[in-house]
Amino acid sequence: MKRIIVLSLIVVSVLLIAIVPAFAAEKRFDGVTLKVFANSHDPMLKAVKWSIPVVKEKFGIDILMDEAPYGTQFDKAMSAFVAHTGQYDVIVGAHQWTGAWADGGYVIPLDDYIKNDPEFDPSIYVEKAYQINSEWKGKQYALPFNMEGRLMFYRKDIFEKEGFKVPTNRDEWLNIVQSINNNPEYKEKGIWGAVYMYATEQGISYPFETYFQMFDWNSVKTENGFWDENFQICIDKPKMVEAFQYWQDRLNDMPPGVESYNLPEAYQFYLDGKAAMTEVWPLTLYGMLLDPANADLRAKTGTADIAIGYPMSGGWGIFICADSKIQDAAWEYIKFMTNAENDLYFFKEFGKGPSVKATYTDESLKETYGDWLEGQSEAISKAVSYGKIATMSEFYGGNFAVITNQIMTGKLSAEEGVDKLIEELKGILERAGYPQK
Amino acid sequence: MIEKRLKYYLILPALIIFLGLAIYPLFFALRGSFFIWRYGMSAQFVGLKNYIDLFKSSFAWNALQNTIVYVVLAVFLELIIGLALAVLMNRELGFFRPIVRTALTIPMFVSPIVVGIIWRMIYNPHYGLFNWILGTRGFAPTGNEYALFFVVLADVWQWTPFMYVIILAALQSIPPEILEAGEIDGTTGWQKFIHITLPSISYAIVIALTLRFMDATKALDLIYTLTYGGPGGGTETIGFLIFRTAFNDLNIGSATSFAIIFTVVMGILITRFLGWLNRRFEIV
Repeated sequence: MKRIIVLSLIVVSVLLIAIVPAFAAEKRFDGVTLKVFANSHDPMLKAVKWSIPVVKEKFGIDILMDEAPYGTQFDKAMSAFVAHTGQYDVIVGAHQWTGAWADGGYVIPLDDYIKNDPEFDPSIYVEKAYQINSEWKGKQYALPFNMEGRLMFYRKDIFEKEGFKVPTNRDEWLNIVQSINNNPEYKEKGIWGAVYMYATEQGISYPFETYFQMFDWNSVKTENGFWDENFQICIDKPKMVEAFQYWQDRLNDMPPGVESYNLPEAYQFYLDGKAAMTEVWPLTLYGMLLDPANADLRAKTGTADIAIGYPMSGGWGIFICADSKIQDAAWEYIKFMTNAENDLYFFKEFGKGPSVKATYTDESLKETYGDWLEGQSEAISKAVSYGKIATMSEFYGGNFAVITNQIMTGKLSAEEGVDKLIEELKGILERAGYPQK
Repeated sequence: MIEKRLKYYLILPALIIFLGLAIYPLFFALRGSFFIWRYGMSAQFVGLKNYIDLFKSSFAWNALQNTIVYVVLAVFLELIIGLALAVLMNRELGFFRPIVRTALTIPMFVSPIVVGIIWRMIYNPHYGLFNWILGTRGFAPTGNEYALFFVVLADVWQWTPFMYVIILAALQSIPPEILEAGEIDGTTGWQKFIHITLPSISYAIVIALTLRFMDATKALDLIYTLTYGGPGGGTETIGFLIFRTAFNDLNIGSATSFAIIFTVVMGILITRFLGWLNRRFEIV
């Protein structure tokens, strides 16, 4: 009897040992640790943090997260990539970094996954978002995560009172600005027609947005009006000079001190009710306006397509690193993070810029975000990206941006400045491996 | 025989560390300055091109000019104000002395990044403390051609306490007998300061000046957060330009050539400066 009991216990134990792991291995990626390099921009960071327990539960994947702000993320990622540390499996990155990472072979093209995964449907994404984040040289390197196009915010109450219509071109826009600036009533209250940013980091956008609108897109095959499909400079110099001259002249129509203004200052100026119009990255300001403390201003605020150009796009994608040994798990993760359900959730909960078409038409968002979503959708459809060549970092924060700032603040004439910009751009393209003829 | 060699064996570990961590990187950087060298792209030998480009670059000359103005002005003002404060705090101020002495050193303990952010708020043309104090509205200290001077002001606010602390310590180490002897000989207050106090603390002034000079020439963190080199490069110093070229543009070759020229020039300047101060004040 005793022998039977012992034997039974042994059989049961053996069975348990065999069965328990079988149950535990139910999740496809149990025991896999995915190293995710997130950006510190709040909405995207919150989304990645949210995913940590969720993907553990859903796929069995453990997430090890690192983060860095915009200013240092590219350089930190490059250091890891060049040294092949295998430090990251997945990286949330800005679209303009695509060329540097793709050309270096640090991130993988996703085309094979896209083709072979029957669950994946790229048509859910807004076309521009999918293309900007981040198609490069005919291959898809990331799935679109965060998408924004610049918008104009304006004071509906002032517009109604003065009988202004939402401006649709730069002449109409300027008329409104100058009417408000010259109106003694608004002068008394310290209200300006517009507050636009002229500091190096953010001020770079306005003249180029104006240039994008003036550029004849049928004259040459180009993605940005700067270089053609063979990466040869195709800048329309007279139009660019005109765009810069316009913005240099506009400094006289702006509140004093805008030369030192970046986003925080512009947001604050508008929130304090001191400007009738502003053009900024919209999500953050919109989020601020949703704060109950700003309810009054929110009711008085309208959003519209920018009147003075084609909006610049700000896009972020999620990439899979070439050094990753767990690329299948990484694909599952980025697919999950960018699916329609999560895109809607991240927008509602964290204010992440939607990349999925369905989010823009979701009924539950209409009441709170209706006008914003409409304007945003239009802005994205017209948005232009500066480009993705390997040396884009020089374009954004290097000499190119400094020269732009020098023209805008009147240190250089538009004519002389644009010549300098073209020279600088030649160097940027050559250093990216595209010799100029 | 063993004893003769022992000294070499003993310094060997330190020598290896020194060669590995100081000399090798220096030569590696020197080599890098002859290449177009970007992260993630193959390096291309270009000889002296990076150096030649540097001399042709208007950005480099602008940064050099800004650095000279920044260093001369900031260090000079810090010395004068630091000296005045130290002399003042060296007197009997009763109950308040320890409190004021401590309070004066606080800015020095704040991170320059934070100082930059705080001064950015202070300089805000519409809500800043600066405009409020001046009774003006809309004046943007860092938004015009005088921006560099207002960056200097922030630097002076932060680093004057450094001068003050060193000079105060030196003042307190002057033997009272020397000052008393001067008084007996009938010196006036001013004469006492010029002929007794100042020579007695000159070694401390030289040390403080040298340290601040070296620190101010590589100013980066304050500028990064306060102006990011703007407007239009108006506050871009050499330190900032090297940083921007290396870590924003990822042009490691160009940044390295700039850093090497900068190091050599600064080395010569500091050596000559120290030599002159030593001779002038007869410290050695």
